[in-house]
Amino acid sequence: MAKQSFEQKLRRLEEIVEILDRGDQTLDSMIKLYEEGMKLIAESRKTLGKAEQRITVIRAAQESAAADA
Amino acid sequence: MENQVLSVSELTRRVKRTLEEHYNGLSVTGEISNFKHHSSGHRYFTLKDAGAQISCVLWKSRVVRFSPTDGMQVLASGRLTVWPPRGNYQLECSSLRPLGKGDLQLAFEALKQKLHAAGLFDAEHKKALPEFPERVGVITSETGAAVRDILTTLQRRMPMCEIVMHPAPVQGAEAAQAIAAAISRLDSAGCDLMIIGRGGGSIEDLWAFNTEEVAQALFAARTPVISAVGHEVDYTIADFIADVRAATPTAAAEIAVRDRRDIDAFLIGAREQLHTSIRHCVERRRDQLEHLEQHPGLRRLPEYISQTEMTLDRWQDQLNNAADRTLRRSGEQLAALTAHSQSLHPLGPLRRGFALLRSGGDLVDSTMTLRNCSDVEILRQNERALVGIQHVQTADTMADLTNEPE
Repeated sequence: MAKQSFEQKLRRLEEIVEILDRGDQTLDSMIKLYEEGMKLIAESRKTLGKAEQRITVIRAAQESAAADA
Repeated sequence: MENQVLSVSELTRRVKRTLEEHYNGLSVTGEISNFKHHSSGHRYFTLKDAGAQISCVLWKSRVVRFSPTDGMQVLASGRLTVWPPRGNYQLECSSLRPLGKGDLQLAFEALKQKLHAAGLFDAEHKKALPEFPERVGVITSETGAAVRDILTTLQRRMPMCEIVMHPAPVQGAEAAQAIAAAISRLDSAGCDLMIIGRGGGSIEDLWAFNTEEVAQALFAARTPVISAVGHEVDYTIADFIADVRAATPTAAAEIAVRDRRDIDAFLIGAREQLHTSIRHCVERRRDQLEHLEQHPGLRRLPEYISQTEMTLDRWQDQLNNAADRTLRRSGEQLAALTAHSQSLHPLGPLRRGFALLRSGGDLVDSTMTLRNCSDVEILRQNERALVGIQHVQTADTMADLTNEPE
């Protein structure tokens, strides 16, 4: 499976919570969904816990030079 | 100098020198007509009033804060230049400003009108902001309150969020072009959304955000944009084009990302819900099992089994009995048969006291009569007797014979 974005993970999690809440699946698939949900929660909380802000700066050096010409 | 004969070139050279020396650094007011924005980027037009007109040029490098259009009253500043090959002169403008009360306001309204008419503000062009952006682009001045407000707010709310900062001057002659270029560049930097803005200032300070250049760059961007130019009361053209307008740079960052504590609360809530759901699910199934165990159908099963066992036992007994009976019967039959076969032995009846009769050496059986015989031989088990016959009586049954004769 392709790497899920944070948003995709949260959406999938919402979906799983809803399905489990309905409770109309087989016990087997409910347990699989439960495990998937728990994994998503753990991953998302880990992502959320990143404390350091990453900043990339893009400089407009070439554009300025072009504008002056 | 009166009768001096000059070449055309010499005369033109003198005119050029005179005009360019004396009409350098002047300002003139008039109405724009025949405005042409050449593909080279230079702009050509005529300034006129009721009695005269003059050709004007505005080089590409000159920035104006509005879109000059025919009929607009403007104040043009610059110098006169002469172009000898054509023998004409023109006003080379260094700046151009709309005239009248609140000229910038007029220009603002004119551009707003124009873009609105072109449909650039239409709601259908507004892009939805991502709910959980992981990469946020920021275009603002590297110095100033705005960048600090945006970065600290993003850090406070969602430190996991990566920031791609594109510094750009937000006021001055080059601001509009630099901001437009930054928008195009960040648009292809893979950001989930962009924040573009600056802190408050005068209408002149905010002017870059009122230019068509920035407006068109914003309109062309595929990345959703939040604008935050100036303070609550300041509205710029950029604000109308952007997908969402924030009152301040801090507000823009708050709109851009959710507070991580909210998401964490959601995650913890989701975990609780998953626990509860799966527990319910298992409990429900256990209840179902228990219910099934209580079900009359299943409760009768042991009864049914023991009943069946009993029936089977009975059948087993019946089978055994039947077999015994058959065997016994067979034994009886065998004994009977044996006895019968023994009884059929010609000498068998002698053991029970019966006798055989013989006459003239031959056995006399039940089909023969003794009428013609004078004597018979009686053969018993252990003796033989010769007897003479006195009388023979015949009857149909044995009973008739056992009665005493008269």
